[in-house]
Amino acid sequence: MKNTNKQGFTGFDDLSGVDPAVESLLNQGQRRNVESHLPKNLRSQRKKERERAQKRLANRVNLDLPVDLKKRLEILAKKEGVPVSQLVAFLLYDPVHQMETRMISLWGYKTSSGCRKFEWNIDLQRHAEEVLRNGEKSN
Amino acid sequence: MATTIAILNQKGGVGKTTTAVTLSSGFARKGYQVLLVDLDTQGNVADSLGIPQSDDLRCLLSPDLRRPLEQVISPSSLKGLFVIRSDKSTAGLKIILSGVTLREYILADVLEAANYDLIFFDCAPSVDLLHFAAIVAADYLLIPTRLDKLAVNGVRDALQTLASLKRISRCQVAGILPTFYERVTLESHEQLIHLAQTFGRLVLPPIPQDTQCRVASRFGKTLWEHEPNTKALTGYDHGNRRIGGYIQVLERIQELI
Repeated sequence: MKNTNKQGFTGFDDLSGVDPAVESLLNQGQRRNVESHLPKNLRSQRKKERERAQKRLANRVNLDLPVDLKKRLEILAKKEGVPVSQLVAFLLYDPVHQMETRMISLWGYKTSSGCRKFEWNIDLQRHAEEVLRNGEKSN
Repeated sequence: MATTIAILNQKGGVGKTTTAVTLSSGFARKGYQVLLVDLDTQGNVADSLGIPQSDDLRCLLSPDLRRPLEQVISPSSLKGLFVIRSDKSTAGLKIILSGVTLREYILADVLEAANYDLIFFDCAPSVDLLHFAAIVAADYLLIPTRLDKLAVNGVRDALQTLASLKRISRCQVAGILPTFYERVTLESHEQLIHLAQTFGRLVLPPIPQDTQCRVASRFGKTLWEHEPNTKALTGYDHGNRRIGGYIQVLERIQELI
């Protein structure tokens, strides 16, 4: 698309923030700089820690959860004395299997998203209310 | 209507031609119709693409010749990438054009009817008439810079030129592209900090220093053809993702246009 902005010159008033890739490189450079002044044994220890952390990154996911659900998960994990991520993984196995075998579906919960990336959104609020209602009935 | 991007820095040896050739060929590989215009008397765009130099630019712009656009555009070996070549005759062209009225609009006028998705200008490392004409014709300005003091000063000069033309140009800064980045040297790191502190979000992910850039141009091939996995394209390994490199810059520009 043609540049239709008639400003004629980039407004340099809002240059706050840095490209995330540049920020990562700057942090990396900063870390190298700090580590270069450390004794050799500490440097290799830091390197091993970093490598371990990088290996973990392959399993890492960043998900947005409803705030109340996140809190409930944290409380449960604390109560059971387990990491939240392991608790979430434990809880997910069953519904994921059910969805793969079509025992459950998203039918009735999908609403049009209006964005190009995803066709649908899931009505989580409705699902949460239904789960609560079913729980009360069974009690 | 084409989106036009001028690649410009008054300092020489900062990677303007490599950037112009790599980005234009990268977009052509993505299916865009791209025209790359060489505004430099050194004619290195043709060399980098493995085609002979020619006085196409002079034939297009010289008032006594004024060949039609379609006659001066050459295809490259890449599908979707076309070039207007340049050579030493461009130096004479600048002298001829200095007597022409409204000369700053000359590129904008001749390329108005060009039927391409993207047009790139590879500018010469000097402040001259074609430099101004490129800024007037361009929608966006991309400023490659080495990470050393003198080249970073070139960024400031380029921005001043842009500011001085603001009455007749709608050109905006697409980004400042750090090139020849060496993540192990303190100087590269400090200059990148300096750039990021001064220009914030305008600073694009840097292009790693990579000998393959020089090797590719020696063979007259683009980096995509010569060594598609080289770090100048793919950037640095950073955990489970890559940082920097022309692929990431291509994505950033794609978001912009």
